[in-house]
Amino acid sequence: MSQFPRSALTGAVWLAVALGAASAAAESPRQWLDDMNRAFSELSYDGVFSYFSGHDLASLRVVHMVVDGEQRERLVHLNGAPREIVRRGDEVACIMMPGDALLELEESIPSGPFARAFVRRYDRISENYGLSFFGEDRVADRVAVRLAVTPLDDDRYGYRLWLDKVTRLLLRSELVDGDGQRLEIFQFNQIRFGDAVEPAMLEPDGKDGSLVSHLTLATKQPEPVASSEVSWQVGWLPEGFSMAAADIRRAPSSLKAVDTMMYSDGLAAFSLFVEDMPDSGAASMVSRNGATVAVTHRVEISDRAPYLVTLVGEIPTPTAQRIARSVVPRDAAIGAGGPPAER
Amino acid sequence: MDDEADAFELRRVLDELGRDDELRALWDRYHLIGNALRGEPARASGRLRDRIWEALETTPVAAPGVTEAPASEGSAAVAAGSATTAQPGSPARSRLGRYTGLAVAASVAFAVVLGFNGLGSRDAEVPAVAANDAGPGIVTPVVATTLDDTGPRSGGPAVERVVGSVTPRDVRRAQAYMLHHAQQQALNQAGVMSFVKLATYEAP
Repeated sequence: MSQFPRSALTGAVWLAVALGAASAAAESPRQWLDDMNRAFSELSYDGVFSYFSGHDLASLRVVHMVVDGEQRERLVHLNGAPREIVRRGDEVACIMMPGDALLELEESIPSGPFARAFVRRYDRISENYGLSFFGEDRVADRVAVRLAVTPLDDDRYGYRLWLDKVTRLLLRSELVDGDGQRLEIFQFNQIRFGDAVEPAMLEPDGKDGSLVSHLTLATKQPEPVASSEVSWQVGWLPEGFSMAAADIRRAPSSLKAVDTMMYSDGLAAFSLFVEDMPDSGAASMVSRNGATVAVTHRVEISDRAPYLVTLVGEIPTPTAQRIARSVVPRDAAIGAGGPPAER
Repeated sequence: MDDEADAFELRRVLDELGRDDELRALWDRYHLIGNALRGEPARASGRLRDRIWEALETTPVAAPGVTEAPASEGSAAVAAGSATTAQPGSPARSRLGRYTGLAVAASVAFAVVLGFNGLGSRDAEVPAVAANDAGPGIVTPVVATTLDDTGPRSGGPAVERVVGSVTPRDVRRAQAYMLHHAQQQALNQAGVMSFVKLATYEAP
């Protein structure tokens, strides 16, 4: 023992301290969220899960692998309309049968590739959410660590997460409002990892007569969006939200321009669509689907043609309304400095 | 509320209301419906609005007779996701319209038209009696929609101003933007959750 090199002993002590520190850091809720995100992208898993969104319960199967450095994923809708979503890197194909409502609806949305945006930024969320562990549970026959993501104000929803204790993959999540009501629930019922996942399961079924719809991400990397480049200004934003992407698209029906802007606080996100008032007019209305709210708000201000603001996002309705009402043309905001007159 | 209860009974009910959230919500709803039926404006609090939505969601809606939906708007449309084999005018296309009608019908059961006051400082909702604003060829069970703009209302800053009435076109626009938002989010996020909304979106 006396012959044991002193430097080696010191090194071992430092290594132990470093490992201990790393272990402690790994136990922080933030680290668990980062690990969850990595687990989604890097692990091989094949599971069946349930998804409840306010009024409907769906069952789906997901298969995920990384093949030759490229993420491959296949999502199969097990009840209702037969649908499969197959992802290879940035290319996504939705496979549906003729008559699927989703297909028709897709023809109504503004065209073009989708903007890249950093929607999820866990490094930012501690400014607007409290993170805490709340014990362990069992989900899909696996031990899960429970993590609460609690909003610090009324302008966003909270999450309860169940993360696999070994792999840190998300096994269950609940999206809850300020009253603790669960708006959406996602939960694996059965899951297997690693070598138990077969690459053949990534291939779509390809039922006879099925239709394929493609989604793609813009090829260029996102650049910071300068607010001055956007024609519209949001007069009020909840604390912590900032613009993640902005784009101008064409509405398929009229080929008129639709300004699209996406905002995120690192966890929650909403999109704004601003367009000139359609010739057929439009109503101001609110509709909801699970935690997603859509606020359509028509605005008329003096010396300008009326316009229509639609906000879609997973935020509380009063917050969504307040944001939608505050949208004004940038030039009008600079000139008048007040909220638009509404009718 | 309708002058049919005596003072003792009214006091008892009010006491009960003070203790029972559910009963108070029911009272609120009856008040609101009463106002709407009498053509009087009414304002719903945020909490009350939520309760009304819950009630609307659980209230059975008369089954609509589903008919063919109008053809897709604009043949020049190039959607972000464009079908590779769908042919306009084909039988598949007709079925598409029919199912779209169903999907639209299912989603608008939750649509509530909002009114805003002139100052834009506070809004007030006016859930009113059921109305059906469906255009020709499509039946849309809008369970809560607007009072007519010309309807009786009292003055004051809190008085709502109702904007338009919900049409299938309005609902479709909101749905399309919901889908666009879901797609944008899904493509930019890691994880199975991101595509769930697409896979389960408005399944008929």
